[in-house]
Amino acid sequence: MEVKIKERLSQLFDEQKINCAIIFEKGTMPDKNAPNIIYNKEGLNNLVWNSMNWNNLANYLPKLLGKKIGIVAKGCDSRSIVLLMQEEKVKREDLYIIGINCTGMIDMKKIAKDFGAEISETIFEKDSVKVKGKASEKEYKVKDFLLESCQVCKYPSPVIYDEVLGEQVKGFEGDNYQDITEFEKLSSEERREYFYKELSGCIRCYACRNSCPSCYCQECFVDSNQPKWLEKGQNIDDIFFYHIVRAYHMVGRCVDCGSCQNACPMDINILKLTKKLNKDVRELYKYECGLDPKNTPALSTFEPDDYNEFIK
Amino acid sequence: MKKVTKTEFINFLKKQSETFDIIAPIKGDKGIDYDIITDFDKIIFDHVNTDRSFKRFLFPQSQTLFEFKEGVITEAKKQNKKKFIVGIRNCDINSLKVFDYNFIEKEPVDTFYKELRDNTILITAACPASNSTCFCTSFKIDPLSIGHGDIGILFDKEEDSFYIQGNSSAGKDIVDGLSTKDTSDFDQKKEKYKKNHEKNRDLIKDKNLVEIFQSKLEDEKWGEIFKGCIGCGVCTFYCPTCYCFDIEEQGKFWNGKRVRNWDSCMFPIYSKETTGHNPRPTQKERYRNRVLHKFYYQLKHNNEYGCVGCGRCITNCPTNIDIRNIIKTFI
Amino acid sequence: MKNTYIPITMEVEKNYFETSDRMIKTLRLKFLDERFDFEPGQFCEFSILGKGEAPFGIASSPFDKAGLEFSINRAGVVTKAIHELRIGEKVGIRGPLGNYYPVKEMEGYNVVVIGGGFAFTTLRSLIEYMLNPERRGKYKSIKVIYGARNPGLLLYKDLLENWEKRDDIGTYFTIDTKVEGWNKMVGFVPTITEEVAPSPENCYAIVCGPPIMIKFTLPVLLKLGFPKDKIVTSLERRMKCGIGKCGRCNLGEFYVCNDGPVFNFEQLEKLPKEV
Ligand SMILES: Cc1cc2nc3c(=O)[nH]c(=O)nc-3n(C[C@H](O)[C@H](O)[C@H](O)COP(=O)(O)OP(=O)(O)OC[C@H]3O[C@@H](n4cnc5c(N)ncnc54)[C@H](O)[C@@H]3O)c2cc1C
Ligand code: SF4
Ligand code: SF4
Ligand code: SF4
Ligand code: SF4
Ligand code: SF4
Ligand code: FES
Repeated sequence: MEVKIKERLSQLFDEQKINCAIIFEKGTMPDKNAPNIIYNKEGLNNLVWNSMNWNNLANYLPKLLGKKIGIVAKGCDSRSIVLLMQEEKVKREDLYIIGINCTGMIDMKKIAKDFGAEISETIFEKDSVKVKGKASEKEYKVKDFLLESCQVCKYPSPVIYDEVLGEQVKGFEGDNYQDITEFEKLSSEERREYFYKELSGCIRCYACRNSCPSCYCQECFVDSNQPKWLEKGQNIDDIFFYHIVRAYHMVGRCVDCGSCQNACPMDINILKLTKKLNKDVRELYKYECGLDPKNTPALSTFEPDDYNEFIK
Repeated sequence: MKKVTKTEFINFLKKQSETFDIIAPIKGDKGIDYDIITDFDKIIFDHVNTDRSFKRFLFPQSQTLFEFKEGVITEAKKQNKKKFIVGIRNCDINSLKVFDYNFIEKEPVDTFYKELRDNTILITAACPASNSTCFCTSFKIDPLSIGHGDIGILFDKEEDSFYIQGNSSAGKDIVDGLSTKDTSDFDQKKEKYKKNHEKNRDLIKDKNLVEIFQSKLEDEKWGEIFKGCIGCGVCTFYCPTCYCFDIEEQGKFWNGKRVRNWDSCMFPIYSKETTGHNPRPTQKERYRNRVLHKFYYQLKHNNEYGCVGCGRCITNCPTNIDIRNIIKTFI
Repeated sequence: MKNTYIPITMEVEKNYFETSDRMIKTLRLKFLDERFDFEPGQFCEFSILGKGEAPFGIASSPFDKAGLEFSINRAGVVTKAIHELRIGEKVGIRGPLGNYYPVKEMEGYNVVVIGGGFAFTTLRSLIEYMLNPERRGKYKSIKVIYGARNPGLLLYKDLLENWEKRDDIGTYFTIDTKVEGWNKMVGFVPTITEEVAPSPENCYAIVCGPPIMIKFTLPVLLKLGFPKDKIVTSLERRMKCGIGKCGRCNLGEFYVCNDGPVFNFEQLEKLPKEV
């Protein structure tokens, strides 16, 4: 796969079809890879493709507006591309999309916990990873240690692409919001308590926001001082407010890639909020975002006979 | 120096808890991190380092500078209980050189930091091992030292015992009351742990970074090394030496408080001016600022690096930006 | 030990629009229980409780001991609140902050002051300081080149007239484009500087203005032969603490609030291009 991607991007640079490419590079740590934007084919030397490529690469597209971009896209990345096309943050004709049929990304934090010692090397096989430490070694099946979002991913194959690599993969066929259905059964006190506990660890580093391809606003509401929407200290209500409003800004715009949660250094489960809203959008509007560029996002349409009792 | 058993040491801490809040590493959901201790048996001594540094206890993420009511200013109420922080690693204790310079030595004195600093007893611990991301030796830090902070300890897991030494006068007073076993094997023990630190790399090797960076301020490599950096606050919030803060007004007109919150030079808004002009318009300039502040500006003015080699920015960065690579790129 | 973040209380004594576009207001504040002295070029953090703090250069003369004057452009939250202040209201001031123009080093030198737009505030303080009978003898010739887009946007018009009448200061006032009733110079500040052609001999040039003006005036001065360390300017930066703690205002190795705001171009040249 790696060789193939390199080959194709290299050709695309040669043919001047692209003048930059968004790729993954081999990380400096055995448990990480590094997203990078490269501007020539020499940049392809460190290209890597394995199950640690969780970052959503579409995140870098709005900053590259106007360039001819090659992008390596998993299923979720491709959905974000569709969304960004709908929102005019990227033009289809500026993109060359190398789609990847994705077999799922691995939760290295979970593996690290299980492994117990410092990881010194990871070797990826087809569907497993061999983890080596100073004195021990263990093999993990990727499918047993998938990231939360990948466990229930319905669209592992790119929904938009110029060419696609890898064997067709079957998406998750069960109910991908099952956990939310369970969560909804809790009383409102229990749910509140859950979030207060979870969010009390938030350090407001905004890695979740900055890692999300749908969060591209020039000025985020948390940074605005005219008007000032919220205070910036460690008051739990402000933290809660940040997360709820961010989730609301994601309604009909979140592709369930998990990039926000995976970026969080405090391991906070923020997908609960976005997933709940995604579930609502699916139920109320029969809509899933990032599937068809010709569609308009759920909350961007209005029909005169829409339910509007609440606007009085 | 004294030598005590683990039980004796725990009892010693329990006794201190009458006067102090004891803060020490314990295992949480995410990993090992400092917390206020209620169950002394849960304290962990043999880990490499904590998830976060102890910075937040001397420089809280959010701190009230003063309050005001109907336009009349009053000092914020302070929580006075003294703190006793146990198990600080050698990289982290060295970060105080940066903090002391910025908040105390450089006029005017920041009373908020100074008060917390003065009311905290710091117990440093020799590091039992280095991680592959540790590079404190680049900054002439000895990971096995017990000579910093008020008190220094070395925990010997084999014998389940502690070597303990008072460094400051306050530390000496506290340690004084302890009875002791024979400590003549201390150097031997220390030697034994040395091999656990072989991974710890000296990346600077006596090179003069001030000279090097002075000539590389506009080097074209700055345009590449920030790679996929998304401009979040992870690296700076986790960094034991980063001290930048923002001041904000909380509350309503005439009634409320003025608060300072951690800030990060990696955020675009950090330098954006009211006119909309931003002197550091892209992540390239922001990343360059972070690197230069750590390895050039502070070194030039305070003769101390703004990095202690703890590796936290490396392990926590969501896009795998590795500060070691940046150093290697330029020297 | 003193909490350095708490401002002293001052009272608004006067406030009036300074420019015809009503964007700039000059406020005179009266010292109450606590007071301080300052040097020309220093600034203060101006507090409106509940709104915030913002830095402003002191526009009045250091010899004016009863109060402080500021000229403030309405830009955002704090400046808007300052514009809404009424006479008699109390405000908070922290200062004096930062370094100042090299008034000691300049002794025995000629001085040419070059200003543009509303960045003339601390230049006014400097000129008033140098013209004070106690100080005037210490400097040789003093020239002032000052320009704005139109006459209405020049600050301190009464004062400018006073200076014109004196024979111990040379004045060159200019507007960008000609208008009815204006009988002084016309043209951009850099052009006028070229025309006036102050001699670099034994001379300091103090330059403050919008970045674009600085950008074009600097080459003129260099061409005239001014050495870089004798060309001095005052910088602005996003600030918070104003006392070199919060890190916000750094320009390369300097904290503008503490190591500045006054710098010469020899210093600035050695920094990353981040202005
Ligand atoms: C040394 C110096 C001297 C100056 N002298 C003068 C002068 O004489 N006259 C004059 O008119 N101007 C002067 N200025 C410029 C003046 O300080 C700014 O115009 C002023 O700060 C604008 O404040 P504001 O609250 O109205 O603007 P706003 O944009 O509303 O707020 C600016 C303040 O709030 C902060 N801020 C804005 N947004 C955020 C956010 N999202 N999060 C956190 N903080 C935020 C900024 O850092 C700043 O402190 C000077 C500046 C400096 C540095
Ligand atoms: S909110 Fe999270 S899961 Fe949704 S698109 Fe953004 S990063 Fe992906
Ligand atoms: S990434 Fe995590 S810690 Fe950072 S702001 Fe988001 S939820 Fe909070
Ligand atoms: S270097 Fe990493 S942690 Fe730091 S701002 Fe960039 S992405 Fe965030
Ligand atoms: S820059 Fe990174 S390695 Fe250096 S002290 Fe800060 S967090 Fe640790
Ligand atoms: S690196 Fe950035 S955030 Fe950290 S202390 Fe320096 S300027 Fe502040
Ligand atoms: S404004 Fe805080 S350091 Fe300059």
